[in-house]
Amino acid sequence: MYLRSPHAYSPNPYHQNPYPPQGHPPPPYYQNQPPSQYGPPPHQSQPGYSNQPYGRGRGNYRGGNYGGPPDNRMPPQTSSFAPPQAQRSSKTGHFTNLSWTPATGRRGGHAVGDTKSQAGDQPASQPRQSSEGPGEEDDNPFRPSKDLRVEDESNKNDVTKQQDDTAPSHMPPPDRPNSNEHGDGSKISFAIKSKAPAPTHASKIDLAATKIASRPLASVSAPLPSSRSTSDSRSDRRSDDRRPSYRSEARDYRYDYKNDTRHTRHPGPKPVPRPKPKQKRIEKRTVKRRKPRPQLSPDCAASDSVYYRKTGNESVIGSGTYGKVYKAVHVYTKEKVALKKIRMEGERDGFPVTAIREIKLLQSLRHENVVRLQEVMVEKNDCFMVFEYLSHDLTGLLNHPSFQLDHAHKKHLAKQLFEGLDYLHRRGVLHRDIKAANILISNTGLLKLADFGLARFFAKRRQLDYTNRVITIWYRSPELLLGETQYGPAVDIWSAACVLVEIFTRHAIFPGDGGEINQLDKIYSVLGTPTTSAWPALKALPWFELLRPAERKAPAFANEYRKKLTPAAFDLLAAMFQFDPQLRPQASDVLEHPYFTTEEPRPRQVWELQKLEGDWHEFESKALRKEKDRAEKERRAREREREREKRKLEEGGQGGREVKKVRGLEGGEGTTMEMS
Amino acid sequence: MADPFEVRMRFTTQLQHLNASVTSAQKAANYALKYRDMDEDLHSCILEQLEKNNMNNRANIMYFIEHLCDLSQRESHPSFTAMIQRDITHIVDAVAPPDGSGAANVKVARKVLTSLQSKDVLSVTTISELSERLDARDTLGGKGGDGGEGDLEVANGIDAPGAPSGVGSLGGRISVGSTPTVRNGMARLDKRQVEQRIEEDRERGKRQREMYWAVSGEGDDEFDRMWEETVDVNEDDFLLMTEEREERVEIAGAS
Repeated sequence: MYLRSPHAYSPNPYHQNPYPPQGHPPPPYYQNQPPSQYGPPPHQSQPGYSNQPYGRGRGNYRGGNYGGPPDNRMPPQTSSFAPPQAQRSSKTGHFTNLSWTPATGRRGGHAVGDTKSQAGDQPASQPRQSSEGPGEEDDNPFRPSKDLRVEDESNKNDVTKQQDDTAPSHMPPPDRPNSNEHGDGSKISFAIKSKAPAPTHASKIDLAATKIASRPLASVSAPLPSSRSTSDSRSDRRSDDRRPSYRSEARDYRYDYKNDTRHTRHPGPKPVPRPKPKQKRIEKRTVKRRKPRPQLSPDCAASDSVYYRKTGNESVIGSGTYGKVYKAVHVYTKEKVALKKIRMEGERDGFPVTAIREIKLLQSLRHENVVRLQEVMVEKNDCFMVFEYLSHDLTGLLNHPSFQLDHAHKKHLAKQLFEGLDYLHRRGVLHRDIKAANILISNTGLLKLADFGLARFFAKRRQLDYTNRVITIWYRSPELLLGETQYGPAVDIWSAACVLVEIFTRHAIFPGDGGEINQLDKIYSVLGTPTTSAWPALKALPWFELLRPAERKAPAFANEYRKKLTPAAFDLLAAMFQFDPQLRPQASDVLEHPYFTTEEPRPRQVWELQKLEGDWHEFESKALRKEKDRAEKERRAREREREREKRKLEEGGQGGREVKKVRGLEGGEGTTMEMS
Repeated sequence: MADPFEVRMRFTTQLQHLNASVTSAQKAANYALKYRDMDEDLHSCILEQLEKNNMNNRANIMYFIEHLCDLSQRESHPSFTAMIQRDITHIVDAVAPPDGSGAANVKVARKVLTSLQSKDVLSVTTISELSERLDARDTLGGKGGDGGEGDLEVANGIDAPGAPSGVGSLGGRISVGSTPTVRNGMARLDKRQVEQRIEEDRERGKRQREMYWAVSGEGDDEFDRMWEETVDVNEDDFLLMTEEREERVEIAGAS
């Protein structure tokens, strides 16, 4: 049982439908939605508004938010098109009210689940019925501001009650063991709000972090114009698909009612006419029957979790100090995910703050070259971050025994790397752990930056002190090695340059022994020892004296790499491997370098990966190497064994006389010689 | 009454085992003040240990002095501060010897001096004098090849690693401006010591960062700071807005 943290991942837009149309009647309820969507009748409260404690709902249903294909939660239907009443009400300017009217269960709650249920099955959605509404929507970032909300609370209660009443009749209990049942046990509700309210002036504050926190808030007031336009388009589409009129009538009726109540703004519960829900029920039933029961594979059906993973270490695809990463598959959607288990062992202070930091960061990021955090779930006392799954990482790919990247491929990967990095830096994020193993590659050749365990927001216009114990040491820039605590995006550029070398040559450029001193030596032996003329700030670095090189070294980079690289690639790398961080190009500059803009070949996506068998991560390639080593050892052991046997045979044959002479010779010949 | 010899011994051990943590420094400072009647003895211990130990330890003792001054001011026992005022030149010379062996400690010495000044332990004039002394040592060795391409920043002394020839070496070789070919470091720290120092500095950095966000909370401090940091609408804001817009469109289009 796990609770999906309601908005643990802000970037996932499918989760709610924050931009209700305004000026148009709200879209119809589910009547016209594909059956699958509302297998379970909604009996959530109005999602958008609820600030009920999570406790009420066990949290969430299995699987919901996927960044899957767009769903049809906005039913295509003309009838929704502006019934007069609705329009009138919209004139009153209650954007929020209006927009959320349909929330009699539909919108917020189901938006998320739609994709999944389409793909899948009713059981998936069953848990929703009772639990998800309030919990899920609780920190809806798009919910109306407080003053707008007030009047709705009462309404919501109505609706909830009303639906609660009617619910049992049309909601068969789940007939399959599923996560819902497990969910009962766990009381842990886990929500990390990325949308903390921020001071009004926050958006202007230099700290990117503050900005991001305030971002969703801003959207509450901002989206009016665009939401209006989108609702237009929706209405258009809806008009294709007309439904029997009785339905729309029913709906309209409801609308009227709702809108009216809102206008009157009764604080208390309203009397709820019974007939309406009944009508609703009928529709739903019809729909439900059409849906065939999904079949789950035995593995999936037996899975405790909505994310099925093989038992034991079989599903592990990565491990480190942070914990382990598992490959898993969503039992209903079959979508593959990577589960990053947050290590709680040895955490005396409760949930690790570093994990919170990572989650918050990831939630605020939204770019195709940055790995997407889908959700955070708590399950059997473990907390998992759920990511989209990518089949390979750069280390695994570069170590692949046979697969080769050509120049155009390499350029495309490099381009994506710097596009991702450029995005992070523009958004005020330092990754601080760029390395080949943290760069994931999909089986279509898409590259995504992953592992934000060391990342942080940085102040763009102020220089603050950060720890210099960041970045895997091979990829660590000289200023960090020399103790700099006031650094910036240039440290990521250095790391990225190291990765670039690996992309080009398959080898790490500065493979040190893990210590700072040796690492600097490795850098100096390629780039030469730094000079104050090339790097004026050198002497001011905290450990400059401490780590002062014992001898001068001349740069060897050109000699070593010019022949291995194309001219533009060499030029680019030389620019990035500058000692003085201020001289290194920014990610955006890198993307404008002739290597990307003019030099042939043009970047080409690595579609060929689709044909590649298996998944290639650092973890697997390490395992492969180990396997090879082991096989090699075994082979040798077998050989030795064979020799020994041979020797024994010979000894036996010769009565042990000439034991010494037998060694290592091919049986017969040796013995003959000796005997002769 | 504790045995003076034992007190001395214990204090010495504490000084030798100082590390980057605030606790270890405070523990030693508390000990010193507990036996304040032996302050002169204890002060001599400090001077002695400053000359006997390796450079890492000297740096730690330097940081400890800051804590000691703090505490003796708070406990109104000015004799420690007085003795430190008296011997500060000696102390600085021991922490960052002019022979170049303590070049890595110059920054430490400066830092502590600045903070002692802010605590009114040292006068501005003393500080500026000492600071000048340190200037020469800071640039030592690196100075060698000032001209042209010769400014490779290397330490020219490839001394056998190991225990620093531990003397205050006040009268030591003054090798300011020595040419690159002359060994400048009498005692370069060995690898283990370097790594230890790195870790200790990081630990100290951690402590500092714990407080850097703090504002006084008086008056409009916090507001002013925010005001200062506030900038005009710029491309960052547009980026955020663009993302929000995309998100909206995506959701709207999902219907």
